Amino acid sequence: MELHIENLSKNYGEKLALDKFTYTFKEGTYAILGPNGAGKSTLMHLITDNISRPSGQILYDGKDILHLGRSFRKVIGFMPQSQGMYDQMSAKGFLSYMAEIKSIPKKEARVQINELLSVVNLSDVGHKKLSSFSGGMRQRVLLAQALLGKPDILMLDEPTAGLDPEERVRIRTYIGNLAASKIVLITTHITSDVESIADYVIFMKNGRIKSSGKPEQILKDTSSKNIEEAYLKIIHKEE
Amino acid sequence: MQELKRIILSRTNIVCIAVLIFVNIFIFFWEFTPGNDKYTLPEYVNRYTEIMNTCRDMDNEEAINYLNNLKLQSEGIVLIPNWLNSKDIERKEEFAEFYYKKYGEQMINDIKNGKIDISEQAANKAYADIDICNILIEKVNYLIEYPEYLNMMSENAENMKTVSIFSDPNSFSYRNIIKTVDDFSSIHITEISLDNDLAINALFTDSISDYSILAYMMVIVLLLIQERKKGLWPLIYAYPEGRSILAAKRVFILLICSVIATVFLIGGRFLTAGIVYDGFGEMSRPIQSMSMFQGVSQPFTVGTFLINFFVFKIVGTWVISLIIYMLMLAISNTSLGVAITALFLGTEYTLFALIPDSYAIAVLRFVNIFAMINYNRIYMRYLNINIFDYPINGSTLTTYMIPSALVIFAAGSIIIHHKKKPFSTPNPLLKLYDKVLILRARFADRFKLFFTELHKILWIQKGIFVITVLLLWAIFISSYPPINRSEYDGTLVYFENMFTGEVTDDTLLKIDEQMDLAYAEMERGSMNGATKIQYLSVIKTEAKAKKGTSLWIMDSTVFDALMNKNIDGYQRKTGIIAILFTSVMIAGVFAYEHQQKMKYLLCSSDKGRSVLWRKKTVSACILTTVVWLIIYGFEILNTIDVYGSLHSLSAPIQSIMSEFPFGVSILSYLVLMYLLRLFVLLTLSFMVLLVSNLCSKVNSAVIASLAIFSLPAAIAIMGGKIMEYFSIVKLLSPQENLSSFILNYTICLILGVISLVLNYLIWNTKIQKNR
Repeated sequence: MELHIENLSKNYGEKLALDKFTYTFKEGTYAILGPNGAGKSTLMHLITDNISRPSGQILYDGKDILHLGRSFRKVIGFMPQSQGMYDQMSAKGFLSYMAEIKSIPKKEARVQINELLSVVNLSDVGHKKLSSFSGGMRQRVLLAQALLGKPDILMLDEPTAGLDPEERVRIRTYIGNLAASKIVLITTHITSDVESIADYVIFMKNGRIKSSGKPEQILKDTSSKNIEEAYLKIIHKEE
Repeated sequence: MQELKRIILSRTNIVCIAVLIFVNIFIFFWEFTPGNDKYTLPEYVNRYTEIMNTCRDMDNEEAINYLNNLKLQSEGIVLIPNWLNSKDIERKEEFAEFYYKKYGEQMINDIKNGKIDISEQAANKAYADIDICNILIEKVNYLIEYPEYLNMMSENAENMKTVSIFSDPNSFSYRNIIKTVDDFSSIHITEISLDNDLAINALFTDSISDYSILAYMMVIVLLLIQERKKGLWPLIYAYPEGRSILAAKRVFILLICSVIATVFLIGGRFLTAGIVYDGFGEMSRPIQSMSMFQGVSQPFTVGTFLINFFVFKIVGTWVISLIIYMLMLAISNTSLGVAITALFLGTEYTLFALIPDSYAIAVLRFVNIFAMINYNRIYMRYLNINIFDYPINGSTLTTYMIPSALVIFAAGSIIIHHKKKPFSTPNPLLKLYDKVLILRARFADRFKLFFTELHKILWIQKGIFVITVLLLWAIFISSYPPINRSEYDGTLVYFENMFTGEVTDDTLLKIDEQMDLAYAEMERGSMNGATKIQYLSVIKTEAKAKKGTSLWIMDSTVFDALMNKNIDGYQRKTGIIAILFTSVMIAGVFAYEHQQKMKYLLCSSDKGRSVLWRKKTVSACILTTVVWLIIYGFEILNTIDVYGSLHSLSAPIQSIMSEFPFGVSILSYLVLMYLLRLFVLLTLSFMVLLVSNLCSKVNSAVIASLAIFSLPAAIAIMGGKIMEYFSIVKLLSPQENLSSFILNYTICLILGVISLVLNYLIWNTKIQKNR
């Protein structure tokens, strides 16, 4: 399984959000780090075809995702940042709704929903309305919907933001276990998450990759004690 | 199917359909409850059925004679006792000839001897009989004239073919003549008959259901694209069934909602009309048996016409909802989408409502979004449109347009849904919209808190829709206050206008001159002269009484309409509209803060208590004033339109209301009357604000306000007199006397002050528990 991105560019008016981005993702967890406006979310929205692609290619197992269409979207699990939900629905109702959108057969969806609610520790409140959920609980529901259908490619934008430490560790471990047979793309500002689950780290700035590699290699190359220090060194290198 | 479940079971959908059903049924009773206190709706229906059944057993000529006699007798029961009991001997003698000639000696003697019942009950029945006879005479005359109308159409066609300008067989005119005759030739004239058509009439004179359906479908479309507002669009769009498959499901959901809307809103009215009016008559009779269907050229029975009507409504509603859905999909910004859809609907409605038949662009009336739901105007009016010199019937055009529109807009919606990406480069329209938003923000900066409060009510809580609906009601539905006017009142008004002003010797001389002329006219055998004398005598008596005072002789029609206590049925109906819209508009003012859990955050800030409370209250008062201005402004405009201008405003009010205790001009009285209504509405708004502050959700506040303030008023109007004491609707009509006036408005003032103080205290309450 391979997701290859070639010379992908995107601009919003004058501003270049992504500049000839080229990278090949294989099974494993990829942590994408960078300041605000680095192009992380744009990259995710281009992969999900939420933004029109002006130039470059995104190939899934050698085939352009635009030609693959639905069959590509079937293998995606997506968790955007600052996501709203249908507040009048229960957590189970919302997940059932998303399962249908993801074309998961009903029976299978029911099993998966119960399983995922247990994974995100929301089994007891699955029947409750989302309007009564705290920020952390909503975040966990969103993560559960991304995991529905056991997608091959998981794109998680700040998946552990707003979670308490205990929940963060639990979720992070779960994501880490998933990554053996999937491509998992995570953007996060929590560097401890990166250190514990990322197989690869990509540093982005102004729409370009500044540096990428395995965490230990990055630490070695930048002579840093941890990812946070490496981040600061790489991102502020030219300044 | 989760998407269907999400829409159908959503609270918005359920509340929306429930409110619309309630409003539709309420408006039905409002429209058809008799506008007087002489008889009730059931009494009217029973009497109508009785008279109509009697007429059905007769031939048309017999029925006309029977109805004319019944009408004359009923008029006699109402008018003769007044004449006999008149204390003005001179006047009584003057009219003796008129009454004997019109009603006959036998009837007058029978009334004198008590052989004819002239009790209040009998007089009320006579009032109903007069109204029913007028309607049935018109219907029977139509049944007599309809076959003649068809024959005349054929004869005219033959005659016109001989006229040179119509005789060219390749011209539109020639083809139109031939087509018209052909179209009407299949109607079974012999089967048209008189029957109970009150319910069918009520169904097809409906002015509100179509707009209710439109509003409902708009809500459904907004629910469908809710993912945009909730920020779920990118997520759904990223998944396999989030594009064309979801769009196709939504097209199907719109069909289901169209069925729901038609069944509940039109069907609700249909059933209500059937129950109230005791059925629909014989379903197998030709639809042309009713005069309103004279223009229908197809040989429909009532039953088949109704089936067609419902199918047409469902499919038409579906197409309209698809158009709205497609427009909303095409525009990423929901607010801008709503504005553009409203503009589109407005343009279409203007074309539909205002293009005259004779215009070359009349085709735009039939190829029109409103033609698809307005069955009445399309199928009940016969009109052939000139399309390349061939006459095409307007209804045929609309009928064929519907399936094509269905395919185009369904496919368009699916394609746009599939292609439109959640993040796209703003188009020029969105850029323009951004500039408008910047301007609005600048304006908001200048007025900050107050503007924000207005913004919350008008935009976030959709108050702007409430105002729009109110304006539409005022423009298209609101009517003028009725007055009891006999056919002779025109003469009285004519003379009152002739002598308008303070009474002087000169006025009395002028009246005498007119009396002489009228006597001369009567001596020549004119009944008109007798009528003139009758009214000149009334004016002369009034003039003598007013001479030496500052009181005026004047035509009081327009003021009778605005101030008369006897028309409070109308005034209470207008009052409930004011209560309804004020309640809905401002019920969310405080509840919104509770709903968003903002109250304690606001109250912990500098201006979050007294200042914010004051701004909210002032905003509510301003919007209440807007409601008052729209409702009563249109009342005055409608009244002027029908009864003439507001004249003689400087005359003392006692010129038209002798019992009024204070010496003020008519203008001052009118201003005071309308200001008092504003005062009542402001008091209502304080009470609604209190309810709002006690509710934790906007929806609960709206429902509670409607239940507390509108429901008692509605029940009172529908006949539950006891509910008048629990509603302020009574205060929006003229008061019986000075003591009830002082008592009622004092209670109102006290309630307003209490509500205001309580509301202030509640807003400033510290946290007692976790809300």
